Amino acid sequence: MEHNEHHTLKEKILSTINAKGLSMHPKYYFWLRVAAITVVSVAALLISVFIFNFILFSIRLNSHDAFLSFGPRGWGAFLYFFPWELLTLEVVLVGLLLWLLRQFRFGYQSPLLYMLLGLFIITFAAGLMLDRTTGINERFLRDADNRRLPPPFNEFYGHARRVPPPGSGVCTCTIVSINGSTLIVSNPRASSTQLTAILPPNDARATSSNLKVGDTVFIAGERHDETINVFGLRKLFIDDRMK
Amino acid sequence: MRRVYYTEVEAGQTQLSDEEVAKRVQEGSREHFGILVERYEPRLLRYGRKFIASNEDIEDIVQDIFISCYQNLKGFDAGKKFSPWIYRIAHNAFVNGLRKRKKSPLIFVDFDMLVAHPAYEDPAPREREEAEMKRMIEQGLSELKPNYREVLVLYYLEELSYKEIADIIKVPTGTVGIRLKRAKEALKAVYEKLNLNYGA
Repeated sequence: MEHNEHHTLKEKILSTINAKGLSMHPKYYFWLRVAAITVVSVAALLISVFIFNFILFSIRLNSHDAFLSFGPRGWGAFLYFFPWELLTLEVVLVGLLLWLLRQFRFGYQSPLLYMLLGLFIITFAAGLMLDRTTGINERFLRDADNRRLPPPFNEFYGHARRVPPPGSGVCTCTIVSINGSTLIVSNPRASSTQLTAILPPNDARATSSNLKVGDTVFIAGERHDETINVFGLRKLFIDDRMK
Repeated sequence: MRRVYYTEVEAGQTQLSDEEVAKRVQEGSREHFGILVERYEPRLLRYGRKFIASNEDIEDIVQDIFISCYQNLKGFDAGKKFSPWIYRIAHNAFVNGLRKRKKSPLIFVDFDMLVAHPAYEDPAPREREEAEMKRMIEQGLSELKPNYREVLVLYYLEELSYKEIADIIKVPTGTVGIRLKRAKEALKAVYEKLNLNYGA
């Protein structure tokens, strides 16, 4: 009984192959598959590196790294202004890359957590290097300002400057006058209105020493009408390439 | 008529290894595929029944496995062992079968895949425990999680090595060792819960 059943199943399989005229996939089909996975993996890796590079550039361009030296309120502002949508995209890409690499033996033989951490460290380090050593972002930003980049880079770099929402206490401003711990500043990108920035007494995070009229400063504070009660200030030395 | 022909092919080729038979099929001898079906059909049926813990649809899935095996056979490297390769196809098919049966996404990512575990495989325990484990697997397996069932079946019933199992289920070799250890503990716990005597 079992013997007959056994042969029935075998014959069913063989007759299906014959009846449907099924054939073996040619050898090149498997090479193409490996090649396709490799190409998509390399593309995902390059895009991941680029995204990390862009996140770092965006933070640098908008001086948001200064928030980190402004204490707990600065850290809150850093998290608020962080480009989370890009980080989400980065996580999705690294996840895709992880899944693709697990198609290869070296991929699945490595513990998942180590692979994940390894991929994040590699893409972050490569992105950091790309941002800090090549000057590619400054060149792309300039070209995007002149609408000379192909899509989607024009749109991407067009949004690199993350202008704080109107009325927020964050601005990159030029000092118009200094009177003790009160600064009159103007923000050329937001409006022509002048703001009054009041620095806290005896706070190293926001001091007017070493400042002079005409300096560009990054200010973070609480805004009430045209006055900002500053909790953090950093003098900026803006790279000419990013002006 | 065709049936007689397959039998003649099989009769003359029984001494060939799986890899040699697969090579003949790759070279165009469709008839030799019957030998592979003959050799692996009972093993895949057993693997499927133990892994899915149900007899429903197993034959249909096994049919699909062989058809997929035939179509992808040129992707098999005849210099390597055939059994892990076909079990890899079977693993994917049975996992899909389990997903359909549970009607929910079955996630085969476990915490034991996250970090490294020692990958040393000692053959002595397998030889010592084989008879006892096989008896236990026959009775208490359906109470275990599918990923525990699978490693027990592949290791004790199909007699594959850690490395071969790792290639089939695509996890690090050390993960196979730790998963097998936990599966044995879970199986013994099931036995104690059901008041079965595993030493007998």
